[in-house]
Amino acid sequence: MHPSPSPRGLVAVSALAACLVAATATFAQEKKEEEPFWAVGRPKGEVTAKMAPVAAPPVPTPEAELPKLTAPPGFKVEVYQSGILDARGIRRGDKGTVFVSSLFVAGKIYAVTGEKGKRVTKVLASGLELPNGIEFNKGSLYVATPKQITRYDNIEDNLDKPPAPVVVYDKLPGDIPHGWKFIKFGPDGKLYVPVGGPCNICDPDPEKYAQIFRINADGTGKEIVARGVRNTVGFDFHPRTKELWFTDNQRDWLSEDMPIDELNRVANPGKDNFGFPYCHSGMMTDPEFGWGKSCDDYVKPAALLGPHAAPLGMRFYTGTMFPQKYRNAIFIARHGPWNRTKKYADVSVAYVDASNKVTKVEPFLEGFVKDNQYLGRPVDVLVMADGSLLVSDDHAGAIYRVSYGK
Amino acid sequence: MASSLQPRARRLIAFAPILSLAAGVLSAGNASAQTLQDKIAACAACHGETGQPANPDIPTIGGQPKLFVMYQLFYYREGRRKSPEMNTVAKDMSDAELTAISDYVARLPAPPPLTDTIEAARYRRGADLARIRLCASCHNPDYSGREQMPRLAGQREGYLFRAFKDYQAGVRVGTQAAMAEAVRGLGDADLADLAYYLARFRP
Repeated sequence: MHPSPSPRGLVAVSALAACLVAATATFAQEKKEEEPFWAVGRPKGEVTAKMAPVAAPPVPTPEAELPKLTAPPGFKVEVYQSGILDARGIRRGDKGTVFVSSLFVAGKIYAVTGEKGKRVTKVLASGLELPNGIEFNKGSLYVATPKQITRYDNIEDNLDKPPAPVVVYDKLPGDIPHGWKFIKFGPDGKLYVPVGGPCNICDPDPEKYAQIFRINADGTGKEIVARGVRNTVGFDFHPRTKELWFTDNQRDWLSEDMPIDELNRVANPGKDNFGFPYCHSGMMTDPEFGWGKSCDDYVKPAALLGPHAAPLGMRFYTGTMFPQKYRNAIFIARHGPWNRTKKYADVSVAYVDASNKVTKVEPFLEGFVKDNQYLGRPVDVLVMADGSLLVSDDHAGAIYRVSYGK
Repeated sequence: MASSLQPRARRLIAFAPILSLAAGVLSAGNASAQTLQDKIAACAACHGETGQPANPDIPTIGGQPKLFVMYQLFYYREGRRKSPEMNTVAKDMSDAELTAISDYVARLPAPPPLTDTIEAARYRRGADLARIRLCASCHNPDYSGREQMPRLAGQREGYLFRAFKDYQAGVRVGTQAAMAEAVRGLGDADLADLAYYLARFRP
C-alpha cells in the first residue's frame, strides 16, 4: 500500500505547480504582448517595420471620385451603388435585393433595392461584430460573425423592419484573427463554413481551426470538408462537377514575393489537406513549422494567385451575357497585399478546362491602384440574373457592375 | 504616482465651462443651418485655435494624421467611442463635413514637447517601455503618427494615460486590436511613465 502523501508535501507540490503555471502563463503573455497578431514573424528592418494592414477610410468615396475601372474591350463598367461604407460580401435575393455585408469598419448588413437611378441602400442590422459572412437561401438571409451564424427569415418582404435573427449555429471558436467568415450553401444543401488559423502562423488544433466544414441548414451534422486551410474568404462550387473550389490566403512576412496565395480544388471532401501551417503555395515548407514535412504530402494548389494577393470572393461564371470563353471560368477578387511594398489589386479570371486544370489566370477588372496607393479594393463578386457581374469594394464603399454588349 | 492625474470627476468639472461654450456654438440655430465654419469653430472652442488647448486635460489635435482624425470622428458619431462632448459634436456630421474637418485638423501645427524639467530616470523608463512595446513600429520613430495611427509626441500626459486605460479596458478599440495588445498587462505606474515620456518626447 502506498503511503498517503503528507499534507505538507501536497502544499509544496501544488505551490511548485502554481509557480510553473504562472511562469508559463507570464511567458506566453509576454510573448504575445509584444506584437499584434499580424506582426508576428515580421523580419527586422525599416521597410517591414512600416507595413501594417491598410485601413480603409471610415467614409465611403463620393461617387464622382470613385476609381475609373477598366475591363477588356466590349465590357462596360458602371457604378451600381456608391456610399456603402465597408462593402464586403454580396449576395442576391430571389426578389432582386442585393445584400451587402461589412467587416471592421461598419459592422452593418445592408440591402440595396430598386432599379437603376432609384436604387436605395437600407441598413438591416448594425453593431454586429465583424459580420463578413452572408448567404441567402430559401427566403432567409444568413449572417456569420466569428462567434455564430444567425438567420433572418422572409427577409425580402421585411427590409424596413427585419425580423429578430434566429441562431443557427453558435459553436464557432470566436477568435478575431481570421475568425471572420465567408459562408455559402453547396449544391448538397449544406452550409459551408470556414474557420481560419487564429494567427499569422501557428500550429493550431486541426479539429477546431484551419478548415472548412459543412453543416445542415439547421446547424446540425457538422463534418470537416477540407483541412490545412489558413484563411479562405471566398469559395464556390463548380457548376458541372459540383466540386468545392476556394481561395486561400497564405502566411505573411516570408518575403516580398513568397508565399503565393492559392486557388484550390477539393477533389476528396473530408480527406484533402492543403498544407497550413507546414507547406505554403504547394512548394515551400514553413521556416518554423515545416521541418520534417514535405509539400508532397498535401494537395497542390490548382493555381497560384500572386504573392500576398489576398484573393477573397470568387464565383464561377454561370451567366450567358459574357462571351463563351468565360462560361464556367472563375472570377476572383484580389483585394491586394498589405504585406508587400508593391501594391496591386484587381478582379482576375481563371479559366478551367474539362479536366479541372486551370489553363490561365489573367486580370479582368483593373484600376484599383494608383501611385502604389489603393483607390479601391475588390472583395466579392456576384453573377446577377442577367449575367452581369457585381463587384464590391470595401475601400471606396461601392459596388460596381460589369456588363457586356448592348 | 497618480498625483499628476486628476480623477475623472474633477476633469469633467474642469471641462464643463468650455463644453457649454462649445454647446452654445452648436445650438445656435438648428443642426442643418450650421455651416462647416461653425463646426470648425466648435473644435477650436475646446481644442484651441491652433489645436493646443489651454486646459491640460483636453487633448491636442494639431498635427494628427487625417485618417486618424476621420476615424475618431466616425467612432464618436457612431457612438463607438464614448465622450458626451464629442458624441454631441459629431452626432450630425455628414461624411463630407467629417472629411473636411479632419483635413482642417491635420493641417494644424503639431504640438511642441512639454518644456518642464525632465526627470531623466522616468523619461528613460518610459522610453524603455515604448521600445519593448514597439510603439514606434506603428507610430513612427519620432511618434509623429501615420494613417490611422495617431501622433503621440507632445500629446497631453493625462490624455495619453486615459487612452491607455481605455484600450486596456476595451472601451476604445482601433481598426485592429493592436493597441489592446500593446498595453496589455501594464500597470498604472508603467502607463504613467509611458505617458510621461511621450508627452515630453524629443528626437
